[in-house]
Amino acid sequence: MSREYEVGLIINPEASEEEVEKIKKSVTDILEKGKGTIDNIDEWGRKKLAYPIEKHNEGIYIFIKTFSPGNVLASVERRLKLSEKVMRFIILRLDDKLKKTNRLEKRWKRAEKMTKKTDIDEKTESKPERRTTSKPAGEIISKPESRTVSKPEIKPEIKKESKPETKTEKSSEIIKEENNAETE
Amino acid sequence: MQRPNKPGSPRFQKKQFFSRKKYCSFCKERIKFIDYKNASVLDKYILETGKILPARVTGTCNYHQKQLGKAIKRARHMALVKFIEPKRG
Repeated sequence: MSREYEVGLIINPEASEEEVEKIKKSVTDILEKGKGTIDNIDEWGRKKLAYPIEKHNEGIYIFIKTFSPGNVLASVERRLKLSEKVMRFIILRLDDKLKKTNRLEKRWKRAEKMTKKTDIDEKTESKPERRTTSKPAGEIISKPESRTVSKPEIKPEIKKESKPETKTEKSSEIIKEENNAETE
Repeated sequence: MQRPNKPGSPRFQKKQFFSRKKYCSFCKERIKFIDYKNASVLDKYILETGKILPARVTGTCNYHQKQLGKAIKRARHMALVKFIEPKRG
Protein backbone atom coordinates (compact mmCIF):
# COMPACT_ATOMS: atom_id res chain seq x y z
CA MET A 1 0.00 0.00 0.00
CA SER A 2 1.57 3.13 -1.10
CA ARG A 3 0.28 6.48 -0.03
CA GLU A 4 1.05 10.16 -0.23
CA TYR A 5 3.47 11.39 2.38
CA GLU A 6 5.32 14.58 3.15
CA VAL A 7 8.72 14.80 4.82
CA GLY A 8 9.81 18.11 6.32
CA LEU A 9 13.34 18.85 7.49
CA ILE A 10 15.10 21.62 9.37
CA ILE A 11 18.86 21.39 8.82
CA ASN A 12 21.51 23.07 10.94
CA PRO A 13 22.44 26.50 9.45
CA GLU A 14 26.15 25.80 9.97
CA ALA A 15 25.98 22.93 7.46
CA SER A 16 27.57 23.56 4.05
CA GLU A 17 25.65 23.27 0.80
CA GLU A 18 27.26 19.89 0.08
CA GLU A 19 26.11 18.51 3.39
CA VAL A 20 22.57 19.77 2.76
CA GLU A 21 22.51 18.05 -0.63
CA LYS A 22 23.91 14.86 0.94
CA ILE A 23 21.03 14.74 3.39
CA LYS A 24 18.52 15.44 0.62
CA LYS A 25 20.03 12.67 -1.54
CA SER A 26 20.05 10.18 1.31
CA VAL A 27 16.31 10.69 1.82
CA THR A 28 15.41 10.59 -1.88
CA ASP A 29 17.58 7.51 -2.47
CA ILE A 30 15.86 5.54 0.28
CA LEU A 31 12.46 6.49 -1.12
CA GLU A 32 13.36 5.55 -4.69
CA LYS A 33 14.87 2.22 -3.61
CA GLY A 34 11.59 1.33 -1.90
CA LYS A 35 9.64 1.84 -5.17
CA GLY A 36 8.43 5.29 -4.15
CA THR A 37 8.10 8.31 -6.44
CA ILE A 38 9.19 11.84 -5.58
CA ASP A 39 6.51 14.31 -6.62
CA ASN A 40 7.89 17.60 -5.41
CA ILE A 41 10.85 19.05 -3.51
CA ASP A 42 10.20 22.41 -1.89
CA GLU A 43 13.29 24.27 -0.66
CA TRP A 44 12.76 27.39 1.39
CA GLY A 45 16.43 27.99 2.12
CA ARG A 46 17.50 29.83 5.27
CA LYS A 47 14.62 31.02 7.41
CA LYS A 48 14.33 32.57 10.84
CA LEU A 49 12.97 30.20 13.47
CA ALA A 50 10.10 31.15 15.76
CA TYR A 51 12.25 30.07 18.71
CA PRO A 52 15.90 28.98 18.99
CA ILE A 53 16.66 25.27 18.45
CA GLU A 54 20.00 23.99 19.74
CA LYS A 55 21.02 27.68 20.20
CA HIS A 56 20.51 28.46 16.50
CA ASN A 57 18.14 31.22 15.38
CA GLU A 58 18.08 30.12 11.73
CA GLY A 59 17.39 26.90 9.90
CA ILE A 60 17.42 25.46 6.38
CA TYR A 61 13.95 24.18 5.42
CA ILE A 62 13.30 21.37 2.94
CA PHE A 63 9.95 19.66 2.21
CA ILE A 64 9.71 16.50 0.10
CA LYS A 65 6.40 15.08 -1.19
CA THR A 66 6.37 11.39 -2.08
CA PHE A 67 4.04 8.59 -3.10
CA SER A 68 5.55 5.51 -1.51
CA PRO A 69 4.82 2.50 0.77
CA GLY A 70 4.78 3.16 4.51
CA ASN A 71 7.57 0.82 5.59
CA VAL A 72 10.04 2.85 3.48
CA LEU A 73 9.22 5.95 5.50
CA ALA A 74 10.06 4.10 8.69
CA SER A 75 13.60 3.63 7.38
CA VAL A 76 13.70 7.33 6.41
CA GLU A 77 12.75 8.18 9.97
CA ARG A 78 15.55 5.97 11.32
CA ARG A 79 18.08 7.71 9.07
CA LEU A 80 16.94 11.20 10.04
CA LYS A 81 17.07 10.40 13.74
CA LEU A 82 20.71 9.34 13.44
CA SER A 83 21.94 12.28 11.36
CA GLU A 84 23.36 15.08 13.50
CA LYS A 85 22.83 17.98 11.08
CA VAL A 86 19.06 17.52 11.01
CA MET A 87 17.64 19.55 13.89
CA ARG A 88 13.95 18.69 13.41
CA PHE A 89 11.89 16.58 11.03
CA ILE A 90 8.24 15.70 10.46
CA ILE A 91 6.59 12.92 8.41
CA LEU A 92 2.89 13.25 7.55
CA ARG A 93 0.40 11.15 5.64
CA LEU A 94 -1.61 13.43 3.39
CA ASP A 95 -4.26 11.40 1.56
CA ASP A 96 -6.41 10.16 4.44
CA LYS A 97 -7.60 13.63 5.34
CA LEU A 98 -9.24 14.06 1.95
CA LYS A 99 -11.63 11.14 2.53
CA LYS A 100 -13.49 12.85 5.36
CA THR A 101 -14.44 15.95 3.37
CA ASN A 102 -17.68 14.54 1.92
CA ARG A 103 -19.72 16.13 4.68
CA LEU A 104 -18.10 19.49 4.09
CA GLU A 105 -18.85 19.33 0.37
CA LYS A 106 -22.50 18.49 1.10
CA ARG A 107 -22.73 21.44 3.48
CA TRP A 108 -21.18 23.80 0.92
CA LYS A 109 -23.60 22.59 -1.77
CA ARG A 110 -26.51 23.24 0.56
CA ALA A 111 -25.18 26.72 1.29
CA GLU A 112 -24.88 27.45 -2.43
CA LYS A 113 -28.48 26.39 -2.98
CA MET A 114 -29.62 28.68 -0.19
CA THR A 115 -27.75 31.66 -1.63
CA LYS A 116 -29.24 30.96 -5.09
CA LYS A 117 -32.75 30.88 -3.61
CA THR A 118 -32.26 34.21 -1.87
CA ASP A 119 -30.96 35.73 -5.10
CA ILE A 120 -34.09 34.61 -6.95
CA ASP A 121 -36.28 36.12 -4.24
CA GLU A 122 -34.47 39.43 -4.53
CA LYS A 123 -34.84 39.44 -8.33
CA THR A 124 -38.60 38.88 -8.27
CA GLU A 125 -40.03 42.14 -7.04
CA SER A 126 -43.59 41.01 -6.37
CA LYS A 127 -42.79 38.74 -3.43
CA PRO A 128 -41.05 41.22 -1.11
CA GLU A 129 -43.91 43.73 -1.59
CA ARG A 130 -46.34 41.19 -0.19
CA ARG A 131 -44.01 40.60 2.71
CA THR A 132 -43.76 44.31 3.47
CA THR A 133 -47.54 44.55 3.52
CA SER A 134 -47.79 41.63 5.88
CA LYS A 135 -44.89 42.69 8.10
CA PRO A 136 -46.06 45.91 9.76
CA ALA A 137 -49.09 44.20 11.27
CA GLY A 138 -46.75 41.68 12.87
CA GLU A 139 -44.45 44.45 14.02
CA ILE A 140 -47.17 46.38 15.73
CA ILE A 141 -48.15 43.33 17.68
CA SER A 142 -44.61 42.34 18.56
CA LYS A 143 -43.20 45.76 19.45
CA PRO A 144 -44.92 46.42 22.76
CA GLU A 145 -44.11 42.87 23.85
CA SER A 146 -40.43 43.27 23.10
CA ARG A 147 -40.30 46.57 24.97
CA THR A 148 -41.88 45.18 28.05
CA VAL A 149 -39.57 42.17 28.00
CA SER A 150 -36.31 43.92 27.16
CA LYS A 151 -36.39 46.94 29.44
CA PRO A 152 -36.15 45.25 32.84
CA GLU A 153 -33.01 43.46 31.60
CA ILE A 154 -31.21 46.70 30.83
CA LYS A 155 -32.00 48.09 34.28
CA PRO A 156 -28.89 47.08 36.23
CA GLU A 157 -26.44 48.05 33.44
CA ILE A 158 -27.74 51.34 32.10
CA LYS A 159 -29.23 53.82 34.55
CA LYS A 160 -30.36 56.49 32.08
CA GLU A 161 -32.78 54.27 30.23
CA SER A 162 -34.16 52.80 33.41
CA LYS A 163 -35.20 56.19 34.84
CA PRO A 164 -38.22 56.86 32.63
CA GLU A 165 -39.18 53.24 33.11
CA THR A 166 -39.25 53.60 36.86
CA LYS A 167 -41.40 56.66 36.42
CA THR A 168 -43.86 54.70 34.30
CA GLU A 169 -43.82 51.92 36.82
CA LYS A 170 -44.41 54.42 39.62
CA SER A 171 -47.25 55.97 37.69
CA SER A 172 -48.69 52.51 37.08
CA GLU A 173 -48.34 51.74 40.76
CA ILE A 174 -50.05 54.98 41.64
CA ILE A 175 -52.83 54.12 39.25
CA LYS A 176 -53.11 50.69 40.80
CA GLU A 177 -53.24 52.22 44.26
CA GLU A 178 -55.91 54.63 43.11
CA ASN A 179 -57.83 51.74 41.62
CA ASN A 180 -57.50 49.85 44.86
CA ALA A 181 -58.67 52.92 46.78
CA GLU A 182 -61.62 53.21 44.48
CA THR A 183 -62.51 49.58 44.91
CA GLU A 184 -62.15 49.85 48.66
CA MET B 1 -33.95 41.20 14.22
CA GLN B 2 -36.93 40.77 16.47
CA ARG B 3 -36.04 37.59 18.24
CA PRO B 4 -37.40 37.19 21.74
CA ASN B 5 -34.74 38.12 24.27
CA LYS B 6 -33.72 35.52 26.76
CA PRO B 7 -34.22 37.21 30.11
CA GLY B 8 -31.17 37.80 32.28
CA SER B 9 -28.47 37.21 29.68
CA PRO B 10 -26.22 40.27 29.29
CA ARG B 11 -24.10 38.59 26.64
CA PHE B 12 -27.12 38.23 24.41
CA GLN B 13 -27.81 41.96 24.66
CA LYS B 14 -24.23 42.84 23.70
CA LYS B 15 -24.48 40.65 20.61
CA GLN B 16 -27.51 42.59 19.45
CA PHE B 17 -25.68 45.88 19.60
CA PHE B 18 -22.09 45.32 18.49
CA SER B 19 -21.27 42.07 16.72
CA ARG B 20 -21.61 41.10 13.10
CA LYS B 21 -22.44 37.50 12.36
CA LYS B 22 -19.28 35.40 12.54
CA TYR B 23 -18.45 32.90 9.81
CA CYS B 24 -15.80 30.28 9.15
CA SER B 25 -13.23 31.89 6.85
CA PHE B 26 -11.93 28.46 5.74
CA CYS B 27 -15.40 27.37 4.64
CA LYS B 28 -15.81 30.62 2.73
CA GLU B 29 -12.65 29.95 0.71
CA ARG B 30 -13.56 26.25 0.38
CA ILE B 31 -10.34 24.95 1.94
CA LYS B 32 -10.47 21.21 2.56
CA PHE B 33 -7.51 20.87 4.84
CA ILE B 34 -5.25 23.40 6.48
CA ASP B 35 -1.53 23.29 5.72
CA TYR B 36 0.79 23.67 8.69
CA LYS B 37 3.46 25.28 6.49
CA ASN B 38 1.30 28.34 5.85
CA ALA B 39 2.35 30.25 8.96
CA SER B 40 0.86 33.57 7.87
CA VAL B 41 -2.65 32.05 8.01
CA LEU B 42 -2.05 30.32 11.34
CA ASP B 43 -0.82 33.56 12.91
CA LYS B 44 -4.34 35.02 12.62
CA TYR B 45 -5.67 32.36 14.99
CA ILE B 46 -2.97 32.82 17.65
CA LEU B 47 -2.62 35.35 20.45
CA GLU B 48 0.59 37.27 21.05
CA THR B 49 1.35 34.84 23.83
CA GLY B 50 1.05 31.92 21.40
CA LYS B 51 -2.29 30.60 22.63
CA ILE B 52 -4.77 29.16 20.12
CA LEU B 53 -7.91 31.30 19.89
CA PRO B 54 -11.18 29.48 20.66
CA ALA B 55 -13.78 28.89 17.94
CA ARG B 56 -16.35 31.01 19.74
CA VAL B 57 -14.08 34.05 19.24
CA THR B 58 -13.01 33.44 15.64
CA GLY B 59 -16.21 31.76 14.38
CA THR B 60 -14.48 28.82 12.66
CA CYS B 61 -16.56 25.66 12.26
CA ASN B 62 -15.88 22.53 14.28
CA TYR B 63 -14.21 20.66 11.41
CA HIS B 64 -11.73 23.44 10.67
CA GLN B 65 -11.08 24.30 14.31
CA LYS B 66 -9.91 20.72 14.90
CA GLN B 67 -7.61 20.92 11.89
CA LEU B 68 -6.34 24.34 12.92
CA GLY B 69 -5.32 22.99 16.32
CA LYS B 70 -3.40 20.15 14.72
CA ALA B 71 -1.81 22.42 12.12
CA ILE B 72 -0.67 24.90 14.77
CA LYS B 73 0.84 22.14 16.88
CA ARG B 74 2.73 20.80 13.85
CA ALA B 75 3.91 24.28 12.99
CA ARG B 76 5.15 24.70 16.55
CA HIS B 77 7.22 21.54 16.21
CA MET B 78 8.77 22.87 13.00
CA ALA B 79 9.50 26.30 14.58
CA LEU B 80 7.13 28.15 12.23
CA VAL B 81 4.89 29.28 15.11
CA LYS B 82 5.99 29.98 18.65
CA PHE B 83 5.05 28.03 21.74
CA ILE B 84 3.11 29.65 24.58
CA GLU B 85 5.17 32.30 26.34
CA PRO B 86 4.29 33.84 29.71
CA LYS B 87 3.51 37.56 29.64
CA ARG B 88 6.42 39.80 30.62
CA GLY B 89 5.89 42.54 33.17
